[in-house]
Amino acid sequence: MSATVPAIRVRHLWHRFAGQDVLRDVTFDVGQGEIFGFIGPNGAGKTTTIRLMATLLEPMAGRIEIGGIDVAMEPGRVRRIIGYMPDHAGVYDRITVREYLEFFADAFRVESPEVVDAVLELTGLEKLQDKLVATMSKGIKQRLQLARVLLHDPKILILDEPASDLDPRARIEIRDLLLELRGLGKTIFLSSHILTELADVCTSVAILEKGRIVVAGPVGEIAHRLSQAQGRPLQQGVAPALAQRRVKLRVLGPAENLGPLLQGASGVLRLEFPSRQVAVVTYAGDDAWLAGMIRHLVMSGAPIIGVEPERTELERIFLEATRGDLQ
Amino acid sequence: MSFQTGRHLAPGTPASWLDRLLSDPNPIWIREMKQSARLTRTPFILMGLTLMMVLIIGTIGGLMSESSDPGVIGTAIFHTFFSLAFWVVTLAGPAVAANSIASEREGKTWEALQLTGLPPPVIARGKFLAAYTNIALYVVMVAPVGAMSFLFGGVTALETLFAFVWLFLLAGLSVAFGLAISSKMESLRGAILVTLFVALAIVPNVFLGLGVGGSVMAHHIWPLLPEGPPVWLPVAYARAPFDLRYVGVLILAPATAVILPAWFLYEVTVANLTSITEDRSTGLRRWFLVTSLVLSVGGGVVSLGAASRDKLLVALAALCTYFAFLAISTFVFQGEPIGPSRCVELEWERRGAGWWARALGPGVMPAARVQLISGLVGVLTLLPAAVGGLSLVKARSSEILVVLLFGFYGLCFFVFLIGFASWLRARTSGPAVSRILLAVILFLVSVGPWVLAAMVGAITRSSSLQDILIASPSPLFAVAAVDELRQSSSPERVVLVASICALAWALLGLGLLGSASLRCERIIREHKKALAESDAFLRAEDEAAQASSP
Repeated sequence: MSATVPAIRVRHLWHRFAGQDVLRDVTFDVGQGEIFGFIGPNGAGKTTTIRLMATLLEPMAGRIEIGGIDVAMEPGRVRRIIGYMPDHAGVYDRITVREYLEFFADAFRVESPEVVDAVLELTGLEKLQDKLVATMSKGIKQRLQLARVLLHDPKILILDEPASDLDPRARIEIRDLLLELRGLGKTIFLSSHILTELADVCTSVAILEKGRIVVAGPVGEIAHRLSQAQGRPLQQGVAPALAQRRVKLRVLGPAENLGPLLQGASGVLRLEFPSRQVAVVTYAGDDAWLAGMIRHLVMSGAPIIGVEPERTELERIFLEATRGDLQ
Repeated sequence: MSFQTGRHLAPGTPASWLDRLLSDPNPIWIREMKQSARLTRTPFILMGLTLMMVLIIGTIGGLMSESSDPGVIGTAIFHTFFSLAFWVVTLAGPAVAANSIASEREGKTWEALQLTGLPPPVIARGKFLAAYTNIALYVVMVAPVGAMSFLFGGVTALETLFAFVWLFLLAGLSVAFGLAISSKMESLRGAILVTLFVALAIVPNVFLGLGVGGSVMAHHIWPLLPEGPPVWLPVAYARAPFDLRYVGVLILAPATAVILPAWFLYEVTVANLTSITEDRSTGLRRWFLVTSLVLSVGGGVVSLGAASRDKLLVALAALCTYFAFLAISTFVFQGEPIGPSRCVELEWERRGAGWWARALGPGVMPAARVQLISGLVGVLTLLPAAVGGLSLVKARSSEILVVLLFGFYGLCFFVFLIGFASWLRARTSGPAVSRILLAVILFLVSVGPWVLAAMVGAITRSSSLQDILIASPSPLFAVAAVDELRQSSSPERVVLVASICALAWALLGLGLLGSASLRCERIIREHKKALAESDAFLRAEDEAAQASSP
């Protein structure tokens, strides 16, 4: 795969089910080595897009190229370079973790005899290798699915809701595993409707709403575009940015003491005190404005012990870019 | 190498077939065997089945030992055991196989399996081997009970051995049947229910028709064989004199009856497991061509070689069988797409596929052309053989006329059927609707004219030839015309009306075929145009992006 070719290229993709357009002119690129978050509410068309990318459906219009190969023309070649983990995938009963992976290693025609051991080690499943798959928790089964898609050493991983139904610990483990895989040079395409799941790992995102891409690109770049786009429509006629942000300030002592320091300051829209030591500031401004405000408070002797954005960058982008209509 | 068996064969190393099997077995087979080995209920089912068989055979032996000699007891045990085993294998086989592919779909493991890149034939064979091994285990478990029969006499060890060979062959066919249905179904329960329902409809007919009925036919050919007992074939292998008739009736005919349906079921399974954008047609088309050839040549040979008094009956039976096969194939090929996908065309270009490969590839019209030409060749092979056979024994001219009219009407109606099926398929979005419509129209066309004739007869209170001629548009009229021609001294009117109807069907069929061809061509042309426009648009976008990039 040439370094200049995007790992995944989706262009003007349309798809219909039962007379309804489920995908409408979906276009985005995923660069090599990225962790790409595909975000959207339930029913937005994420799984359809992913199934098209994984060669399980044929696009009705438009083109998808994976590693420069057209999925509609050469599905066999595409399957060799992708690892696809479907949403709520099943596992085989009455088979151990090791036997499960050995079966898929044989099915993938893997030649290297060390692969199963290496994948067991990478995914932290060595100690469970002789346990029956049916007795495993959801988190371990999800990890096993991830191990399965790694057996043939694919360059691109396509993961549909990999952390859905998992407990917090399992989510953190999956997230760490994804970061490790990125370190190994894999491109990861990740879909989810849980933003916190993606916030810490994604380098780029695309937001899908009602079958349309609302916004796509690197997280920082989108945030910048949104703050620049006040009052102007974003891509494809979507609602303008709100450009209002909220930040939570923790202080040593009564939070009301911050009132005189912030009241009337330019950019501050509202000040609330939900508890004795917490103040929530609603403001209109960018990160530089926020840094200036904190400096001003500290220089004025305010005992600040914590600054937390009320929403992550990704949550903010999502809220600002989508209408939130029911799908 | 195989991870599952832990065997690795270094490249270039000379190896026995066992080494090759262990170092590269079908991965699905091995995995399913490992899963089966952990199923705790299997030993209990096997034990229960064996106990049941022992009790039944023991009871029969015990009851008969009072009054019969050992030879009679041995024969009774032989027929009872293999009849029961036949029912167990033909009902349990499809049910076990139905469990295999549908359970992958229902358990949501199918997509993972599909994306491994294992070719559909490998998946089909793996599933077949797994289900067949399970059924074979049942047979092996009860084998000692069945083997008891030759100890009593009445049947020989060789006959018992032949019976077991046939039991294993039938088990294979039953498993292939269950697999073909399972490959189409999404739900496990649905697959098992449908499979059992269809098996329950077929198995009693096969048992009575080919078992009991077959023994009557065998007795007719070889009077030393008993008439009536269902398990006659293994006995015939050991007792019938080895000659040309032995080869034809006991080797070639049964082999054809097993191989052709097994091949068909395998191709159906593979086609159902193959993605709709890939080539699902070539395998089924090959099966159709070979089966058409075997049935037409085989029917011709049988028509020529039949005994003088049976010649007309055999010729008509051969023609009926061939037309039934053609009609069924029309339903099978309703699953064809309008034309080949881009993926298939790319594969053809890469391979440098010639006209023959393309003729066997996906598409409504290539399928219709192959059926039409093959059907024409088949009928033109069968008819001269049938007429020649009758001429050899100096049959009456009315009998020759019967065969000619029957073949002509059948061929013309087949042309209509192909034309209508292609026309329907070219106008519907999927095969299910066109298959249902085709079945409904076929039923109405076959039965409708007879209902009309019956109504006219009831109104006029007569049953004259005039009334029967009203039913002439029905393809079943060809069957009724047989009697009419044999009995009537002046058959001209029947021949004339039947010929006009047959020609009308053929012309209508050709017209529908032409219309279907035009529509398919238009759809393919428009599709290609849309794809070309889309390609041009994407290319222009790429060029614009390249020009604007620094």
